[in-house]
Amino acid sequence: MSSRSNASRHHRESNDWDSHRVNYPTLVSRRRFDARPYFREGQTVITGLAVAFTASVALSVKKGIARISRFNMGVFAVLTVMTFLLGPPTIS
Amino acid sequence: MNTRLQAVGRYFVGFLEMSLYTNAMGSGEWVGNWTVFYWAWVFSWAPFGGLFVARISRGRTIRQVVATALVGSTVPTTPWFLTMGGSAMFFEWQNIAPMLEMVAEHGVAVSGFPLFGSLPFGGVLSAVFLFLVVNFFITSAGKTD
Repeated sequence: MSSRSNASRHHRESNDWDSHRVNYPTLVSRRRFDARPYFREGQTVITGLAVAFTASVALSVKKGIARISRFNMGVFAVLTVMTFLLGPPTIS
Repeated sequence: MNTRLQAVGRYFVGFLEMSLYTNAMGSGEWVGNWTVFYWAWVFSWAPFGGLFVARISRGRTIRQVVATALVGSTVPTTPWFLTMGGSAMFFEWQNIAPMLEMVAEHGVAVSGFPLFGSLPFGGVLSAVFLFLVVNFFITSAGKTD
C-alpha cells in the first residue's frame, strides 16, 4: 500500500475516531485530538488525590495513615469476599 | 474452589524447586529479568518503607516485627491472589472476559477491570477496586511524612 493511501486510511480512521466525540462543544479544530472534555474528570481526580494526600500527611502517621490503612484493609476484605461469592462457579 | 485448592498444593510442592529454578539448560533470560526486577523493586521501597516500619515498630522486639511483616502480609494476600487469580483464569478459560487480550493490549495494570466488570454488580466492584488502588497510593506516599 502506498504512503498516500496509508495517509488517507489514517485520515479516515481519525475521522471515525473523532465522530464518536462530535457532540462535545469545542472551539478548537477537530483535526487535532481534543482533550478538553477529559480535563474536568482529570481535574476532579487530581484534586481529590491532592486533598487526600494532604489530609493523610497533615494528620500524621498515627491518625492519617493508620485510619486510611485500616479502612483500606476493610475494603480489601470486602472485595475479596464479594469476588469469591459472586465469581465462579456462581457466574457460570 | 478446586483451582484455588490445587494452586495451594502446587505452591507447597513446588516451593523449593521453583525457588532454586535457574533454567540452567536454557538462556535463563526470564529468570534473570524477574530476579533483577524484584531485587530492584525491594531496594526502591527500602528507603521509605524501611524507615516507616522502623518508626511504627518502636517498643517491639525484632522477632515481633519480622513475624508481623511476614505473617501480616502473607495471610491477607493469599486469599486475594487465590480468589482473583482463580477467577481470572476461569473467565479467560470460559471466554467470559478477555483477560489476556486486555492485558496484552493495555498492560497488567488494567487486569482488574475486566475481572470485576464481568461479575454481578461489576460497575460497583470496579469502582471499589479503583478506590482501593487510589487509597493504596495515598498510604504508600503518606509513609514519607
